[in-house]
Amino acid sequence: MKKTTLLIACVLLCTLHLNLFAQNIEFKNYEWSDTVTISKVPASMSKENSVIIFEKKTFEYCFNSQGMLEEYMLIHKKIKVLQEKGIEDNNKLYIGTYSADEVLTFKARVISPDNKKTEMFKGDTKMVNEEGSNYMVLAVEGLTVGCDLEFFYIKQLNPNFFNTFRFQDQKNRLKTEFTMITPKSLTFKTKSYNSLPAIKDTLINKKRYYTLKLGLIEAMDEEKYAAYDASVMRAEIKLSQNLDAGNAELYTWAGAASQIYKNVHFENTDESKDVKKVLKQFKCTEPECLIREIEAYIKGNFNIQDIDGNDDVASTFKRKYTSTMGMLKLYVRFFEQAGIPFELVVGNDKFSSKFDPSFETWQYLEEYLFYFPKLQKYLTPTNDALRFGFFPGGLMMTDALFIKEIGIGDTKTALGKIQKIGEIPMEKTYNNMDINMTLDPATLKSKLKVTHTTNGFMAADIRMFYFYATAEDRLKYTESTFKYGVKDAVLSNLEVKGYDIAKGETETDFVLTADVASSELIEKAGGDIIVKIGELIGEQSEMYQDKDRKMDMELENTHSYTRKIVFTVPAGYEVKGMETFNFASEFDNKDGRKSGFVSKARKEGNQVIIDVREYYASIFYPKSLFEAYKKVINSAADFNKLTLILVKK
Amino acid sequence: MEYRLNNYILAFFLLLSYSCVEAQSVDEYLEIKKVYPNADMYYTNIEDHIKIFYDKEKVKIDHISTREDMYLTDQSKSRTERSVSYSDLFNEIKSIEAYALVPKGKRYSKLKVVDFIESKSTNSSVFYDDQNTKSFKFEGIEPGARTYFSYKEDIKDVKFLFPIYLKEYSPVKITHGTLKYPNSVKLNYKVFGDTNGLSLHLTKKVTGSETLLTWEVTNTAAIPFEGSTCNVKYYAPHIIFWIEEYVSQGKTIPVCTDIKQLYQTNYALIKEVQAENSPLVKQMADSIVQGAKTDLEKLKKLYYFTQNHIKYIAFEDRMGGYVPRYASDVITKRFGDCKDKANLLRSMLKSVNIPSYLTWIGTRDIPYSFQELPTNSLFNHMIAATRIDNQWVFLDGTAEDHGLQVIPSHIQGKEALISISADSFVVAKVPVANLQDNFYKDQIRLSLDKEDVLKGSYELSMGGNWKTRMVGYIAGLTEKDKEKELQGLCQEGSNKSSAVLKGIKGLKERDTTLHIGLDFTLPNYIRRVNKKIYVNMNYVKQLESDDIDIPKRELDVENDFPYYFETTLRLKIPDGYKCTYLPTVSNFKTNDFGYEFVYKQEKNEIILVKRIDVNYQILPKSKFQSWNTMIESLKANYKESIVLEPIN
Repeated sequence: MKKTTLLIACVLLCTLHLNLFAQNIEFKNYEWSDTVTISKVPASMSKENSVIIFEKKTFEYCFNSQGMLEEYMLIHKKIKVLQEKGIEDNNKLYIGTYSADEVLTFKARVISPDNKKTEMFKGDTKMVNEEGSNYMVLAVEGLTVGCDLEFFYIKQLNPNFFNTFRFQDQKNRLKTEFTMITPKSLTFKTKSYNSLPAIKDTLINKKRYYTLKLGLIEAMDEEKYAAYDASVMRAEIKLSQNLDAGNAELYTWAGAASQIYKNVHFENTDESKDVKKVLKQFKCTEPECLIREIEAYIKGNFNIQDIDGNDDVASTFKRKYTSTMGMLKLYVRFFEQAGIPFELVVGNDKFSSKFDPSFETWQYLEEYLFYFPKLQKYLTPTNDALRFGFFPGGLMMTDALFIKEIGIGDTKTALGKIQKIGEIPMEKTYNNMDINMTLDPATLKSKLKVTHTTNGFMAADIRMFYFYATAEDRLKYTESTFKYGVKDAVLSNLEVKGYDIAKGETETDFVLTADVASSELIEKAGGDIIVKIGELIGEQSEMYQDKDRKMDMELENTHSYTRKIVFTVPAGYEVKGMETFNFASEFDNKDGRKSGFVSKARKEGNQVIIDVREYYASIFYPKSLFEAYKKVINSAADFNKLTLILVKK
Repeated sequence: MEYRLNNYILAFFLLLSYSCVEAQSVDEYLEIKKVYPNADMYYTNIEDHIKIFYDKEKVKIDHISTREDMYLTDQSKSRTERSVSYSDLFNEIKSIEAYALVPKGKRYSKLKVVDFIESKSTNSSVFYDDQNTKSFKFEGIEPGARTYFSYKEDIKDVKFLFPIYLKEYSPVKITHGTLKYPNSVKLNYKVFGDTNGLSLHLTKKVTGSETLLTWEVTNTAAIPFEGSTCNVKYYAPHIIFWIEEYVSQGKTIPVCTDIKQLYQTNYALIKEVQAENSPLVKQMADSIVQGAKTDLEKLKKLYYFTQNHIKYIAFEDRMGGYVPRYASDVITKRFGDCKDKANLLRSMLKSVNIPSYLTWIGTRDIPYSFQELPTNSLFNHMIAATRIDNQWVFLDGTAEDHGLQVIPSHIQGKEALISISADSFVVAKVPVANLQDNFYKDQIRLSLDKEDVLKGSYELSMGGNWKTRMVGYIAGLTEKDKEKELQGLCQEGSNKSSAVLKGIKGLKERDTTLHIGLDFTLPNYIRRVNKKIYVNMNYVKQLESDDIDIPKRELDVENDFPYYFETTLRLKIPDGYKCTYLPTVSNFKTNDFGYEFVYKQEKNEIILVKRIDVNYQILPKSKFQSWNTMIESLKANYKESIVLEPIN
């Protein structure tokens, strides 16, 4: 969702004038020194592919002669290339820009270890389009190991009234300078996160300077089960006041609520015709049933794509696809016509940055949900796989703006409040396996009856896939599911249930059953037989981490895996090694819940019964729990190795 | 009254032009669904009309392409976008028309496309080219909807006629078209790909001053979509047309008559850049070969420099896709594409008095032989060639990390057109790598500690294409990741193992074997029950999952290069134990593949020597059964454990 859709009625008049600089831009004539000296990096970094020597980012807002607000950006960066890979990482520069005209100045140079320069200019760049986005690109000339690559450019932007700046990534940075300059009449608020020092605010003459100067920022590596983008040093900025127009706070939650409300409502009552016609065909009368029917209709008939034209309801009906905003309008019209009370929820994916209720910025208003207060349930308008009751895990338990319609007399408007989006309990999301296994000692072949039962988040995508896929593709997926644990599986009596979305099977168990014949689970050692029971659950990932854990562990959703394996010991044999199947690893999540891996084996008559349960009851685990968490993850990999031995009686 | 009537008429016409109701039947959709239950899309008509004609003594080509599709499933709904590309040099789009027919009861309503977006095309392998696209989206698409897309283009260069494919990745009702040309144009064509079961009607009719070629195939099934196979050109049936020569102002102008003519056309593209004699290139070459005593050493130094220190960045604007850049330019910029690298290498070699020659070649993606086709469709790559001991040696500047003796897999077995001089060339074949050179050998020594953890050393050695693949992989890793990733080499058999990297040898040296040494431990691997110890010596199970699903597989299997695996695993028998079960020798051999397992006991060690040979470039369907027999037999061997028991 592009936030530009929110900016239809921005409080300031703004424009994008190309090729004319506003009068007082401080970096209008920005230049670098002609004399160059090759940079040095600390010895500890000499094995890196490349290191960022410095990066300067300056933004300036100003009014042009017509009184329109403009924004300009200066980026100046110097990179030291230390390995061959560092050349490949840096010898193609990409500057995101709609057209080359927006880039007002561009210079680049390569400085060799003996201080020689190779210079490049805007004329050396080309415009390309990659995956729908335009870039100005430069193939950097003369770059070899030991060189510095330095470049700067000035670009005109569409004025940003709120923004996120990340100061840390997977490269070491020796020096960083951030400056934002605004006319005195425009005040911004800033907030720093993840140990980033605060941005300083100074008024000099008629301009405000927001500055931050930093020395070494160490690279931050990615970690499994972590919210990387949300954990690096970052600052949020937002336009707070336009003093020429009073002291009112801008871009508030209340402002967003009323703006979004306006955007999703419309004046043309004719548009309801199509909606009414569809509603008449629906059978449901109860709200939940009706909501599900509306959802099934919309998701079955329309999808979200980039569009150039109108996104009003009538156009959407004709075109069959629409923008995100068009999709919201469509739902709103349906719910209103059907008389279903709802709130519109706008929030942010926790893996990108955490919604901070104390810092009012529209930057967090990224993802949309509908909330039905009477039912206390959510609907995701932008994801076809997640059906009523489910929503993207990145929004779970995060703060968000809830927008509710209120009426004052005949006038209707919206009220916004910050609330936490709820949680979907662990019991809703599971993947279970039931396996009955027998084997023939003469042929060393085994026969299995396997049932996979999946639901909740884990079933959403598969269910939708089965619903839409051709029989051939369904079969391919089914086979791959059974072959995950048993690579040489020969399948028969396949059955698949629980994916008819059109008939409302959105929360019924998605069940795959099959009879499986295999020989790879059995190994022989002289007269003894080794049964590789552990492999039945499929290969499990192992978690290694030697270094100290930097980030907390975060999951999309809570979930569990249950496996029940019943193995019939063949006549004439005795089973050994059952005791290795009895182990457990559980821990307290520090929120009153537990997570763990528990495996238990018992013998009943000639059957060995093994019960396994792996469960994650929380979506958040502080990094202090890392060792315990890792142990649970690795327990499944331990189970993978386990075998039973059959010895002749 | 009159005013009102006018309005009605106006409204009627508006309605007609806006949502013209077509009289086509919707029932066909249900029929097609039954016939092709596994297809998302169905092409009802693929039609091409090409016309070659004279315009003021110049030969011109225009082409009208029409495609009509039917959407069969909800899945296909996401495929609403279409585009056509064009560039200054090759073609100009003269007109374009597109609309969707959306089911409305028993009829269709027409939704015309009005927004055509012009943009640069996206090509991930090329940094910059001058290809543009006109793209658009159909509106109102749902299962049963039909679309119509037609455009007219002028083809600007008579050397570049496009192939006509007779099958698609979806079933097609009819593929047909015409090619009309004046009889003073000499035109040739050939059908390539798998035409089995294809009822192609290809006719040629000469009337007066013109010839008309027509083609038609009906009811074709979809081209299979399978992995590990050759380029689609090998199996998708297609016709290639080419103009051999034409008459203009009484003179015969040759275009693509034979390989000699093709050579002359191409030579014109390299003539000028080859003539450059740059002191800068000489200076660079001299500094690179410093210390080299023989021509062979010099050759290697310059070749390896070009491979790894000139970075691959491709610009393909206008003739930039065909003409190499000046060597001096490439050496200054430090980047180039295949032909830039080839010419730089040739130029540097020349400056140190080693003769070498620019060479056009088609990679293994191209199935055509020089015999069959005298057009530039043969080529997609340029290398250099030189002679050592009277043998042609091929130098591929894009083949990073390859030693001189290692032939890049993408050109193995291909014909090469070597440019000797303005009027002399050589056609030579690039050899296919020898199985013995491409080895992946591991030597593992293990012993059991008191906690039943296997401990030992892992020595991996690699040669030929295996080595270059691994060196390239390691070069792409950051220092931080290198140790972790290499530890993974010996962790294949167990995700519980841990490893310490001891050393890497031969990473930078091109002409030696690559050695990687690790120490590792393997907990939870052996089984001890009562007093017996079970150990499966097949710690790594190569090709275990490589059996072919014969009933389903439709296409031949391609192998990048011939190779062999060899593992020698030595397990020390713990003190006080003896081996009570050792699997027997097992082997399998055909000309294309085979294996051998030998278990033996030497003093207090159990030794498994295992070798697997894979010696083919393409495994045809006829050999699938034999391949599966080998894999089955391999798997049976992988299931064997040895048994150790106390001596007393």
